Amino acid sequence: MPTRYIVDHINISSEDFDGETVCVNFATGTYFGLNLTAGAILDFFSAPHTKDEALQFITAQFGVDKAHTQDDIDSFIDSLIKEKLLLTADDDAIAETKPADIPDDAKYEPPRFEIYTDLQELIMLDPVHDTDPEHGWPQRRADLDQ
Amino acid sequence: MVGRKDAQIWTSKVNQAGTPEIALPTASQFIVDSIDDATSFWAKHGGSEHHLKLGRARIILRLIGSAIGETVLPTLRHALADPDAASDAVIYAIDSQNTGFAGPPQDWPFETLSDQGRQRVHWTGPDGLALSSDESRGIWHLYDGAKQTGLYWIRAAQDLPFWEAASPLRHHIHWVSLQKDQGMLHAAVIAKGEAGAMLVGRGGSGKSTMTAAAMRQGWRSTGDDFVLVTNQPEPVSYPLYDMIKLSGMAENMFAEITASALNPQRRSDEKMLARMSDHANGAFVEALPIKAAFALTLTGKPQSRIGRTSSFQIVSAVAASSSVILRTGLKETFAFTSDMVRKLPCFRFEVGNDPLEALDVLDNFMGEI
Repeated sequence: MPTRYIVDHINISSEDFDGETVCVNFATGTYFGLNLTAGAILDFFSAPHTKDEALQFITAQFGVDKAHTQDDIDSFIDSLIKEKLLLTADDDAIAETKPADIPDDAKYEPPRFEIYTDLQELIMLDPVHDTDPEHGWPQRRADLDQ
Repeated sequence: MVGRKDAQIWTSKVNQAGTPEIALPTASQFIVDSIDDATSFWAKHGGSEHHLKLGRARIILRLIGSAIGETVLPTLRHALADPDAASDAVIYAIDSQNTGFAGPPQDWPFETLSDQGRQRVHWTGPDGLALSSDESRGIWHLYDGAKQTGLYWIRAAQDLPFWEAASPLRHHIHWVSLQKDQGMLHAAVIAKGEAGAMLVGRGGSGKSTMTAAAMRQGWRSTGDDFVLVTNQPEPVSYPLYDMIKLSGMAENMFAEITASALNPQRRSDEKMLARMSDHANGAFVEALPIKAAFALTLTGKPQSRIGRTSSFQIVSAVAASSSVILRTGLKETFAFTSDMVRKLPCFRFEVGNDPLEALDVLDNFMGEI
């Protein structure tokens, strides 16, 4: 069964600004600026999905063929995983895809993001980032001990 | 010692294996129990009650002991309000050394997960439980969002660092604000007329210096460092602390402000603190609409310049610097800031070496937009 991925909802927030997405990883203190395609992919992973499902989604939304986009999208998803924006989803997680908020006349551009790490010193805070979301500090998140 | 019945458990020893010798309460229990104890202590001993109106948030502040008022009240006097109005939260402020209420623990008795273990946070959302402590200085902020009741708990008022009196209760005001759909943002807001310019940037980026220049020129302001903001229907700023902080060359440049420093005997690493209302001649105002946001950078060049910038620059500057100071509600602050920025034109402001020249540039620019 292909691996499904999901946004790290505990540590990640993102906001759309007229097609550009600003995203912050509070665990690492990294800010990201994403173009329209990249923002759409990140948004798609608000619910658990596979890489192939993301490819189908983007090709359908932008009316482009898989052959021209697969490498772009695979590579971009790998970058999201590397930057810890996406986590591996639990097997029993339910996928509820919300309708995409993409303008009808939007043109496909290869997904890309700019990474801003100069804010890390500011945003990296106390152990709150390592804590259990339900119980708070000092209960350490179980997944960090694995 | 009066106060917490179980205060001794917070200084309990660990055995040789590093395991606490008694069962420890959770952070949530600690917050709830501490606030309950403060509530009971107030019921038994009383104190002075003050009503604050901070933007759209109304807080009843109950001071227990005389010493703590000197820390909490001076910068919030402008916010003292009608005691008959409904309140959004009750905050108890207790100085243990001067009241007999058991002091906050020297150390949180759990394992330390980072090298910043002397400053801790607990956060379960705006309507949940919150804690922010600075144990090295004996300062604890606790809040129960469901009960809208909090505790500002300090070990000894006379031992507080100089900056605590410049921004007291900041975590509580942040938490209550989040419940009122109001943001507490690290920014200055100044205006020549009705159109406010929000100035954002890290500490040292020129917010206070530009505010001092604005005060000299008769502009209006709601704050040089932190302001309260509501977004509906349009962004409006409200004052938080009646205080301006200057350092370095700005202290000499604005000698009229420095002359009334509240800390004339300050150490070399302390910023000069002065009340804005002492100098602004009525220009420290109750509210200012925000019409544009400017990300400041100091260039050291003779001339200042303003140009377009992205929403990203403003969002990242405001949310990141607010978060590092407020330490909790990071997602909420990011979302609030994003809502605000969507409603504002965003600019970069390259501030030259003359703040009065920079103010002229801003004045001309605001006139055009």
